[in-house]
Amino acid sequence: MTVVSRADCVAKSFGARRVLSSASLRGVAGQVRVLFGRNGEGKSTLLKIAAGVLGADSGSVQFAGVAYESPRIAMLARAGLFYLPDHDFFSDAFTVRTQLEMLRRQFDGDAVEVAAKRMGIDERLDQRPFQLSGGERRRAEVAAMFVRRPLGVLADEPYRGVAPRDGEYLSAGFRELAAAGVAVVVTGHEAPTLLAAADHVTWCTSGTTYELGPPGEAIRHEEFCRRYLGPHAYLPAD
Amino acid sequence: VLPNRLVVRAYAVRGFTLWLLTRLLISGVMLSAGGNPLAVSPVVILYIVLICAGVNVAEVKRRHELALLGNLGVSYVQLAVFFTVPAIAGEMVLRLITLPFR
Repeated sequence: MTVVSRADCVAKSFGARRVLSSASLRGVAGQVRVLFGRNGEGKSTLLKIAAGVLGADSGSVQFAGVAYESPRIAMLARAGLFYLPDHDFFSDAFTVRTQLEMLRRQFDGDAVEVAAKRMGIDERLDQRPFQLSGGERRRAEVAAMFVRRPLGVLADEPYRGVAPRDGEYLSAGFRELAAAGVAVVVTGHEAPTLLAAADHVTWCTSGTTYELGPPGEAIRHEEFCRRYLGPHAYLPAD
Repeated sequence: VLPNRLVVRAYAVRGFTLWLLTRLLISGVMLSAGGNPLAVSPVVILYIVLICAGVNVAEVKRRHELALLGNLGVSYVQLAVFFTVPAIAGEMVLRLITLPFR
């Protein structure tokens, strides 16, 4: 088990509000790991800290075996990280093809057309992101991961607001990246879809994180079911 | 690690366009105040470059491009170069062109 992306004992406060007190995150090569947590529990904050977008009050961040005292997204990206924020990743100033090509030329991943075809957006390449639907934009963002070929992916709520069919594309994309040895960490609330795609579940609550193990074990965790999933959750078959 | 040519060209074109628009606006203001917009002191040029850098920052934030640039491995220092060099180059070219008419 090779840990590619790692944040340990992370604490973060915004003013008087303490969001994280001692949270940890692992991105493991060849696995899709899902980080669950209710709104405001600090999932996105933890992901941003692990990606070098936000500084932590305390704790440590490592990527590809290197510890970073003050990580910045640019330095982690150069080391092999791809961070997908919870809002639009692409700029409306350039076409999808141009932006995918920027990433491909920088990191020498898959051909743009191949990645776009894989995610079903090959006919949208010459359009600007604002001309795409929300689901198509999200698929284009996963195509960016293929042209980037990172060591680790941190994706913040990629399934938010996308149709089930688009969600299937995203899950297939994440699974394919993991099969190629990429360490994928995804957050979100779409429990059935995420549990079906995941190898491992982490639960972020009360400022800390709990490693619940594979989805089959996670859905048998009483506290997780009671406090996060709720009593009427529709879950995939074991 | 330097950004590839496609990234550099895209942001150089934008930087130059924003410098041109900013320079036209500032020149208009200077003309209406009775000044000569082509004969400006180095301090004024520094202010113009800083204003252009600010406009570039606003544009990058407006278009939510920080995540894309970060994922491309573009550091803050490289961003600062993207935001200032087109304006500096524009001012130098403008100075050279207008030199014989002063």
